[in-house]
Amino acid sequence: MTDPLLRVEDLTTRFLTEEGQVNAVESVSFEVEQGEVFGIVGESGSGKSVTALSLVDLVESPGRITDGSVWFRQSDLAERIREDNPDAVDGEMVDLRQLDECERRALRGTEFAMIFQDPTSSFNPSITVGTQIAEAVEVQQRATANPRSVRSRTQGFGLLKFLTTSVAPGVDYVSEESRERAVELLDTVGIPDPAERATEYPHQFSGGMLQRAMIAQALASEPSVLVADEPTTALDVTIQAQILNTLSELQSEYGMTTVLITHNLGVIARMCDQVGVMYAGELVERGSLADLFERPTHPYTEGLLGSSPNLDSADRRLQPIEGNVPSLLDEEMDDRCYFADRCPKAMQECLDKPSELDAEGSETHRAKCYLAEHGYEDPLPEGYFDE
Amino acid sequence: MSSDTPGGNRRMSLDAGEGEVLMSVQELERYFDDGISLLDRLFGESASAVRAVDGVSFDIHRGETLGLVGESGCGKSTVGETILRLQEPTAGSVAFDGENLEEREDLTEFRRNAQILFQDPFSSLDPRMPVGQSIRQPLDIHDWPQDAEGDPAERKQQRVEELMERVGLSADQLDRYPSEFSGGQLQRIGIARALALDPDFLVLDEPTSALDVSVQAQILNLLADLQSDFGLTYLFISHDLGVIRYICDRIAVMYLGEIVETAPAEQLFTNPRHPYTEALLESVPRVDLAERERDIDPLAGDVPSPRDPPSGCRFRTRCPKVIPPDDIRINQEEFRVIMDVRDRIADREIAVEQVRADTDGDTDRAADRLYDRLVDTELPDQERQRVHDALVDVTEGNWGRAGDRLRERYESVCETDHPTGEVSCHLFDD
Ligand code: SF4
Ligand code: SF4
Repeated sequence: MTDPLLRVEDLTTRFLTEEGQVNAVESVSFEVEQGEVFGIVGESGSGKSVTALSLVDLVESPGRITDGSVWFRQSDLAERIREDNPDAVDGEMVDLRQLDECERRALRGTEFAMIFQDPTSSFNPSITVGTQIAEAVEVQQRATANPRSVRSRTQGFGLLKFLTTSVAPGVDYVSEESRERAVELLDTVGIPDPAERATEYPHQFSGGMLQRAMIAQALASEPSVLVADEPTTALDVTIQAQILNTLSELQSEYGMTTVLITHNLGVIARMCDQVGVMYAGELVERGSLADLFERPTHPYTEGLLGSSPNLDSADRRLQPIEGNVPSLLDEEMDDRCYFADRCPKAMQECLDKPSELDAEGSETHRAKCYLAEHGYEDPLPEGYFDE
Repeated sequence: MSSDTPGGNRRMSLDAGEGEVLMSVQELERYFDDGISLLDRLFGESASAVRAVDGVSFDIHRGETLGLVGESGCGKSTVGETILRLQEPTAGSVAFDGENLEEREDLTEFRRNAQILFQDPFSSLDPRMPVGQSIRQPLDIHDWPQDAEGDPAERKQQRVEELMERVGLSADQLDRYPSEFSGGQLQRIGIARALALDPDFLVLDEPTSALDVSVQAQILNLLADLQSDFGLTYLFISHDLGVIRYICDRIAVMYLGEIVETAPAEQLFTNPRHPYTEALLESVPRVDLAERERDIDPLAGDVPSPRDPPSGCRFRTRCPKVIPPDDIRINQEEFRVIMDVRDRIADREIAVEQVRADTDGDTDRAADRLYDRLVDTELPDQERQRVHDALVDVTEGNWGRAGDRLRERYESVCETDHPTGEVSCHLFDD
């Protein structure tokens, strides 16, 4: 059995704010197979977006990744690193967190790409869309040739900032081939009349079209892994459907591995093979789409499903999750299941000590909940949390 | 007459939308012309108003929930604010409880009786005011209670406590400030405030869109309970079809300032008639294992500008079912492609300089190139020739002739006639 393409272990990201330490991402672990779409679903404040940023090493101050590894399978790289940094290599896998800054950036330009909810921040308003995508193409080519030789005028803007934070002497020239490639990319993502659109500026694009252009820009680097953070959240549903279709087509065509972050279970259902559910900074359940939809184990997963209105039937009262999301301030977090005071099945032991994610279950379907270990035993008295 | 509103009559009004009409909206229009600059006027740039709401009519029956659904910019929120007179209508009439609002000299009674709840609970409450005071404010403004029984201050306090508890919060929390509450709790407080004067009618404008789904479900259930307890009538505005289906009895679908279809909820979801309604429903990803296999043919393109909406049917620039003239044998998809080319020509939105330069004045070759760029399906010979000829006109800079050439042959009833009728689409003309 081959290794997964991505193996995230105990990834932990904290923010040091004025109010105190915020545990945004707490010991998150999951694996993503080559060519698969791994969805991370959660509500606001669950840590899903910070997880995405942590994967690609884009967490900004006052946030910091404080622990964990992001193993990435890339045999050439593993070969190259093994000598100098044996700890960072495990078979064909390399721990990105143990690489030096410069190697990491080079990887970002080539192997990883990210798309965001808001495409406007990924484009420089004063340069044509075609030129910016062509620059992304060049960035990729130069990064492959020599990791230290790239700069682009889009630097400072979202994705390209991300691709090119390793700055060196700038090149304002974009080759004809790169321009042609940019038009091809715009065509690939379904922009009609791409040659003409390439000559336009970002403000001439509608939201949906700019979202496509951002995807084209991300594809320019021919990434192995695409991290998509709420890519359709800002869009109307008819436009969302266009973009999701485009993403699926690209996915099957390029065999791209994707980590998709969303709050929308419908988007998860449409796009994902494997799913992780996040709550209060933790991954509380993961498994295949069928595991989660048909056999949810964690009461939070069940609650999310029960709260989602069903378009195809109206005969059902929604089953909300009572209460609100807990504080993520370290000092306010006890060492227990963070979901306990909203959980309809909370037990005494849930308050004594949190359950482990790898509590017994199937190999691939896991839940961070005692119910996965032994079912419902020793319930708390009714009204326990009502003071 | 207004006393026959027992709680729980919601289901009775479900199907036909029968029963007493509480609010009747006729041909409502709301235009905005503030975006037009002096320069536009001086140079006669097509300076036209934004037609946010353009001739909208509907009735809301007592005790029912009418859903108003549509995508951003369709005008649904403007409808909500205009029927409450938070914005002045440009034209049209609104009658509440049988009385035309324009004819009422004093809107105080109406304002007491018709309230609104907005999307963002953080901005609709004053951050410097304890929430109890926010809930009491409408009571103060309207001099509640109007009868002279008991001590008014005490009764107000009682009323506020009662409201707070009715929405699922504790009266102990009345002295706290908005920043001490979560989004869901603030929305509950907003609801308490909206209910303070015991209104008959509430406009709910995306009341759960800013909330997480687990909290959204709490609020939706609460709204449903309050409705049956107090016999409330709702206009529920939302972009979220799942939410709309869950809470509404009847639904009106808006597109570009107009209502395209109104139907009982069940019927709309099981048997959508207007092509836009169909496309909208098809677009929503289902929370279902079979979702990955579901074939979706998404609508192409974007919504046109409400400053200059398309003639005839406003959906015609995107409609997959746009109707070809009777005398042309052409399949639907091909006709759509031709109509797209026509739209581009009408908007002069085809870049020709480069093609012209590349082909050294050979207009035929230039047109070939444009054709390849714009037409991605195989057209019948005759139609291909016609489109090609029009593109020759375009490369020669003769946009008008190109447009005429195509209109002559392809003019559709969807562009010449504005559809009227229950379903606003010519496919449903008798
Ligand atoms: S561990 Fe206990 S409290 Fe936490 S989700 Fe499971 S049953 Fe509920
Ligand atoms: S009138 Fe024509 S364009 Fe409009 S929805 Fe009906 S078929 Fe489509």
